[in-house]
Amino acid sequence: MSEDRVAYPYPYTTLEDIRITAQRLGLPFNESQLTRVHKAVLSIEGSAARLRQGLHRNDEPAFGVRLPAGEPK
Amino acid sequence: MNSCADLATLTLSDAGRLICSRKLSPVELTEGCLDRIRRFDPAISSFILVTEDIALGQAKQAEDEIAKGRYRGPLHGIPYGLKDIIETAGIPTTAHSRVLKEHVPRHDAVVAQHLRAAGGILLGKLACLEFAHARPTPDQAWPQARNPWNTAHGFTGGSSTGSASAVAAGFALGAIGTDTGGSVRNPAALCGITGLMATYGRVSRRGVIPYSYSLDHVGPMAWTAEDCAVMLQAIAGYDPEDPGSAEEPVPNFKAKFRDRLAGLRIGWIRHFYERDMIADDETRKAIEETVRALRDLGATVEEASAQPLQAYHDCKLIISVAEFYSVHEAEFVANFAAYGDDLKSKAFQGAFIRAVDYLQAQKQRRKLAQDMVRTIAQFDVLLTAANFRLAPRISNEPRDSGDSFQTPNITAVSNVTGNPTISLCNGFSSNGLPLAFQIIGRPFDEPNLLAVAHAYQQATTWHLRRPTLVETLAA
Repeated sequence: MSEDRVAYPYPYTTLEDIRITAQRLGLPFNESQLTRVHKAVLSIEGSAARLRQGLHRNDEPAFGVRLPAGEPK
Repeated sequence: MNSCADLATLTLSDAGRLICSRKLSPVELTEGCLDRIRRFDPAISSFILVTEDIALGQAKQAEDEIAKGRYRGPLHGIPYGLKDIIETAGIPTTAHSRVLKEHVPRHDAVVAQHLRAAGGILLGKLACLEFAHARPTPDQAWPQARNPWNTAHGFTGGSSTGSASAVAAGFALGAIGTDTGGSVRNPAALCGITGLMATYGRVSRRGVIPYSYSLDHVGPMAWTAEDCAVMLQAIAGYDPEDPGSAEEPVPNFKAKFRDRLAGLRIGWIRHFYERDMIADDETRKAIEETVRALRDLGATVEEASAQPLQAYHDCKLIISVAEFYSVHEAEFVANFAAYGDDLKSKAFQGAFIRAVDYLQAQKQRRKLAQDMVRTIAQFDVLLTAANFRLAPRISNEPRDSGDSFQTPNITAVSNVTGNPTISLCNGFSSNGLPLAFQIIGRPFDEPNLLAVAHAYQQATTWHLRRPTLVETLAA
């Protein structure tokens, strides 16, 4: 897969997805709040899509999240 | 201590020297702070809880110990405040949320233990954004802290709001904040003080209510870089019970202080605020003046380039939103009504982040951290803006949380990479609000970072200005 073909591969979350999830969890959001959540989630998914542009497959160790800052000098 | 006004101009380091030489009484100093809090904090709201009895008891103990020759060090007898997401044994810790209104921890956070052991005087618990995350809304249990440079409508930035305003108002000589995307450095910048985020892992987060556990840092806020060095000296150190803590030796954070910066190489990252985002004219001009001042001190300043700001933003956003919801999910569902209006919307976003996106963001974070190591390898420190504009006006209107999420934040760069970073005042706008810049250091090289900030403050006077509370109150 070349970098320029990487795109967000999932359907974007809809307002209805958010409404259903809130209902299932019993969270009494009003419509204005649901809309705010939806806009923010779309923004996050935009970030996720952009982030994938800068990633390569299989170029990182499979495990480990230690930052260079945390490694011994 | 001659008057309440003297307290406003006193720095933590100067007070420490006066206490050490027994020219200043910790009890009188603490009483002076409490007096200022009583007189001025009703208009600023920096404190959620003032621990007056505890403070006076600790001050008396400090005074007795010092009189008997048992001086503990430069924080002995120094009044300070803690952001109210830092747990304190037997003292309510609310995270500025109704959710934890009755929460009284059994143990001190490690940072609180260290400050107590250093002989500091706890004045109280300081306001913040709800769980360090949400915008202030009228439905919260306590009012939002106001900026002492404009108490009428000046926002302090977030999320260590009360920590910044309490120091800037002269209520406390230092304060502790936490920083997940700039929450020490941004309010410090907007309130004209100095804020230090040490290297990821340098200061234990155990006992600090988490926001985003892989991005959270704890840091000091005070008038000067020297003050921050003194506070960091007390709170730094390995903690095997904090999974993010780094087993690194703690150096003398003032070891590299000097007046001149000859031979020092500074990388100037302009594209963060001149291309990736556009800072206002006054911010840009102040940084150019700062570069001139640093060159006059003997430093070499050359333009440097890092990854685009958007890359750090995308990474930080996904990690922080996912981790915040993972911390709160159970409580959020069980106790939804207790969360503030803005936090309700912000927290719930985390329910829609895919595991693969979170993991990809952590992977990208590692790349960005490695890239920053390469960038800074050519220099001793990096320099850039602390924010793009002045302190905004306070507004209680609900805001579309999507808007702010689409805007990259210049301070979040260092949360992603873990580099130590300090923000400090470098001027004032035409309407009297503080301007600021940031210095970014190599991992675990806080002594060099602090030395640059200290030399800059020795050569300039911005950190000596103080807000005039009486006049702003009258306005």
